[in-house]
Amino acid sequence: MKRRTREALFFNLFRVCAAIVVLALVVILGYVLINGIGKWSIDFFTQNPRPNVHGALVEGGILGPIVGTIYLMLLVMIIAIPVGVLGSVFLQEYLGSSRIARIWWMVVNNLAGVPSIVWGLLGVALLVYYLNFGLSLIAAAVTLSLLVLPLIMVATKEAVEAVPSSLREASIALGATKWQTVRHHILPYSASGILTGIILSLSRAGGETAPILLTGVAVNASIPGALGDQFQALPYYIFLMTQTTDRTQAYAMAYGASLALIALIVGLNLVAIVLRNRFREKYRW
Amino acid sequence: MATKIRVKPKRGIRGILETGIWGTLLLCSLVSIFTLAMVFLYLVGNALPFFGRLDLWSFLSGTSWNPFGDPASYGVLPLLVGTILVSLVAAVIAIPIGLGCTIYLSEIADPKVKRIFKPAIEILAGIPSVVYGLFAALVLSDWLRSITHSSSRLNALNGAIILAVMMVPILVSIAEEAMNSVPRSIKEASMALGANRWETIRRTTLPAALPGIVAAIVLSMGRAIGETMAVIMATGNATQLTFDILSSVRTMTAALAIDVPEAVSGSVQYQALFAVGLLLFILTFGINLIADYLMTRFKEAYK
Amino acid sequence: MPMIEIKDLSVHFGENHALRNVTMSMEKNQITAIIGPSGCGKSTFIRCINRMNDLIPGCKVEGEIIVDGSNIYAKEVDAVDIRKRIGMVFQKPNPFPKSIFENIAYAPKIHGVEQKDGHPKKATKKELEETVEWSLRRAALWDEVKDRLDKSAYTLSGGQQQRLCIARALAIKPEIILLDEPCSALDPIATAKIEDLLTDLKRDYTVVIVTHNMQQAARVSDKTAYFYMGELIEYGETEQIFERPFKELTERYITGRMG
Repeated sequence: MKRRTREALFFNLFRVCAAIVVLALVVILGYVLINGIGKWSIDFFTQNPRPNVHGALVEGGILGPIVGTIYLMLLVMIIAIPVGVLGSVFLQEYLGSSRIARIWWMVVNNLAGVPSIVWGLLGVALLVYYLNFGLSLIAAAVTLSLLVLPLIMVATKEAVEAVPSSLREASIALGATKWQTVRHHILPYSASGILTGIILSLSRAGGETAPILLTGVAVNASIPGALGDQFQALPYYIFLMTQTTDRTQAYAMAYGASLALIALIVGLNLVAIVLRNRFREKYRW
Repeated sequence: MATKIRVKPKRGIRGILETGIWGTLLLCSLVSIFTLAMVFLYLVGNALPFFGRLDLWSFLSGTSWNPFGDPASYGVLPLLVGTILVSLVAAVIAIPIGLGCTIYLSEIADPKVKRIFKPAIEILAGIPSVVYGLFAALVLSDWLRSITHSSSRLNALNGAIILAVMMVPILVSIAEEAMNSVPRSIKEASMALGANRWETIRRTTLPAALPGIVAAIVLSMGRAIGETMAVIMATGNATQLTFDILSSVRTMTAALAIDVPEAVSGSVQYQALFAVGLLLFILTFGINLIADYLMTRFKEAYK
Repeated sequence: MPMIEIKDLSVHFGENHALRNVTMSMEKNQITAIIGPSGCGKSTFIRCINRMNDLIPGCKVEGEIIVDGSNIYAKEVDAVDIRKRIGMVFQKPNPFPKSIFENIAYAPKIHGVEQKDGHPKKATKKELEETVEWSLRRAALWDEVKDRLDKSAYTLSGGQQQRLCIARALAIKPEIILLDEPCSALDPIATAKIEDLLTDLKRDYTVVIVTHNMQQAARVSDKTAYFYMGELIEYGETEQIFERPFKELTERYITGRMG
């Protein structure tokens, strides 16, 4: 086979591979969009799931699940962001590239690869039973926070590393303390990267099912009024809808809810892009 | 105007505040080490008693998993085989397609296409696993059935295919980075010697990026092994020991998700499940260490 | 009493003995130039004076640096405090990615305004504005930027950015200004402007400038110190160093026989 022909053959093969991937994306999202949009209505978003004549929770809307997911994301935001961002900043500014720091980051990177169900196991053992939170919103939220913590720390680390050390030096030379330098310079200049990491982590937390399965999500929970209450969640609701026997109704709800979950994640990412660009503009160097 | 420089002790209140802030930051960063320690400790702590009641070999080789049955059996082999079967088949699908995609993205695609393609990969990576599971359960399974006419609509192949779709974004993003890190100079050297683009890729770029590419493969497999929701919804969850990809299987992750909510804290079942969790953790941790090692070797080669 | 007295200063970076037993003193309101080939320790030396080397892990400093009568390396001394009295301008201009105004106002804002009783109080907006204008005038930059104080510092040319950095250092009214090869990234015209500025500044400040440009040292400084391989080889009046150096090493460097 001529060399040129061989090259063309392989390159077309690779183009096909890329096309397959794009096709998969289009098909999956397409199915969700087409089947889900039909379910969207005011009622869909303002009503709780309701049982039909057979008792299956396939009627009504997804209010409970949406609220539950939003509560989870808010809690994860409150818990994981300060710990993750500040912890990472400390490691960067105080321990720099020392041996301790390198081991640390190796640990953090490995934590990022722990399967989500294993985080669920930790959540059950530590939070639900040992600390006696029980199956609850707070147990699930802390579990999810632990899951996303490595992601936030790594994103913060990379954003902080991108800030040139000359700016750090300039601040110190003016008599600023390390903390003043971090507060007035390092954090603002890395804000754009940190925000991206935060939003990605929140999206991840909102979409996770396995950890919350073990730590507190319930099919018939009402909207939680306290941290100790159980709750519903969008991803769990979607899962449930594929397990019932009342197929036609359930499947339609599943698609509608999936579309809502994806819309939520897309919305978050759009916010991230807007915020990220704003910070990038403000502190361009 | 300027005052005379005097020997001044570290400022009082400000000094305390500063120390306090650094103390808090230190605490925040310690959380990550504690977490890893905790994960391991709790897994081991809850799993160990189980091995007091049943020995390790029976656990690993037992062919029946029925923790709530009467009599109960705690053999993890069906689950282990289920996990490996689904992941391996997924890898067989994902690796060629993913690599083809990577080469396309890093060497062939023109910048305009790249600008659409890269976000497409990121979007794929951001779709929650339940949505993939939904698709596999409702749509993919029917398509497969019409081709394979298998007796189980939900089976290992179904799970493998959807896992492959989930693996590709990770594989592509890491492998692409590896390919892009190969210095332009050696690529140009190859072209200058008369090699065409494919020959350069095959003989120069790919071998140079190999550790990074293998790391990408390894990491994406780790993801596949650790995936829960998509496989629960796609594979049927029968706890049978089988190598038939058209039959229903249950993975370790699925077993955990299904059985743990039923288990009572401290019971045999609970401990057995933690043993499964420990096994899963060791598997994925090992995979991550391998990937880490590969990435470090790769980065050092191109310092 | 000299403004800066260096006594037996030695610096180690891990195994590397970067500076050996440097002893010299610098008088008030003079410009002292530090010259020498690359790697001779000039930057290390000047960074000791405002304790910037503290930031480098593994750095060990021995000896004393006595500024205005007090040893800044004494155990009880707060390094952060020192830097309010000793300002530094770096080789590559490094303005903050903020507005021109905010660059200058940063230090006065965080340090506050010193009161008569010694305790600082928070600077008012008006005080900040006055300080910014004063600093920019003193750095000969006011006329060029007075209409665009709110624009990013990065809209300025390299030479202007460096003068901005000088203004930024002046804003907290230090007594000593250290400059580490401030003109090496600038064109000749910008360089000339800064050299004129330095000659003006020495009326009110004590200036130490590291430079690899011998002609600059000869033009600008009152005294010159020649470093080689971490040691102070010769130190004296600039005219004497350049026209009648005592040491052979100095002569070889001056005449270009050694880079």
